[in-house]
Amino acid sequence: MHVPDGLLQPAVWAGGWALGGSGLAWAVVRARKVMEKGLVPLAGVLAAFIFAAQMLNFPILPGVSGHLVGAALAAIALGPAMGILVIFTVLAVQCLLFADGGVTALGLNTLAMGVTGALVGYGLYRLVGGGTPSGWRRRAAAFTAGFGATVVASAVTSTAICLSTPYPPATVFGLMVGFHALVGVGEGLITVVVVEVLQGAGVLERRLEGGVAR
Amino acid sequence: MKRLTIVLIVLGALALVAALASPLASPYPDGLEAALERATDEGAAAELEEGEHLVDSPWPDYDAGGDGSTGSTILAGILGAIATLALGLGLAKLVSLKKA
Repeated sequence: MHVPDGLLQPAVWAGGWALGGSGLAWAVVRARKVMEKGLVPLAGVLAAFIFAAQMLNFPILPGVSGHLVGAALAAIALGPAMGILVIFTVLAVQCLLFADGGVTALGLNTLAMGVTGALVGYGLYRLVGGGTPSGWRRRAAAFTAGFGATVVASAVTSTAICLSTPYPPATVFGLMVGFHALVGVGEGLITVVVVEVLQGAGVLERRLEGGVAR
Repeated sequence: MKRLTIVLIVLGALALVAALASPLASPYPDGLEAALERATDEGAAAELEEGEHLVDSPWPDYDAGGDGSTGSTILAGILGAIATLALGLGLAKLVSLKKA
């Protein structure tokens, strides 16, 4: 759901930069308090993994595809603040090197997929999973986080489109959220797999040993 | 070997596999493009898809070799993964300075 240049009105993409930029600023301030040095390599590798995984569009309906966003899994792995910064890294590289997502729209894309995706994904994981979920509860929490993050992010993008275009809001929201509910199923499944890998390696417990909720 | 190191290797390997498999990605428009196509008349959607990009990118459309070939897409995936790895490491290191 990378919004290109030319779709959003100037006031809307400027608003996207204001809100997305505020989210980034919060993420930097927060990460400086809670980001462990030992997790720096994981942040880099997760960014690279998410970039590559985002290239793999999977079909969701005849003629429609979707791909991972990765905000929920980044937030579960590293906390929402570093999760936002990881997604921003991916979006910036896609935008600047590959013209995927507009430069003017990078703020809005960061707001929707990064800030919203990470906060919603992390919140849902905590809500469904509690503190240190195990077994099927952890898998349910990870799936809900990935699914919910994708759907809510698509609603944020839909709002920006409705503010910028004359298209009927009910149609925009219906199509966008409907398609991304299907994409969200894929997102949820991938989130479960990655969270299981992180759990198997003790990364999630390690986070809690410090006693800091990132 | 530390368990975190194993995770890093697994995720790195998965990233490489994803980059190698990227030519197999579904060519269908994604959820946003498909929604715009259906919400508007087709001309407007086609225009958007072509879209003017306001900054010149070295490899638009993940075509790093400029010939639209399978290898060109894979190269874009690998170059992009290296770029995100470097930028992600740099950013994470920068913000984690205050915490041991």
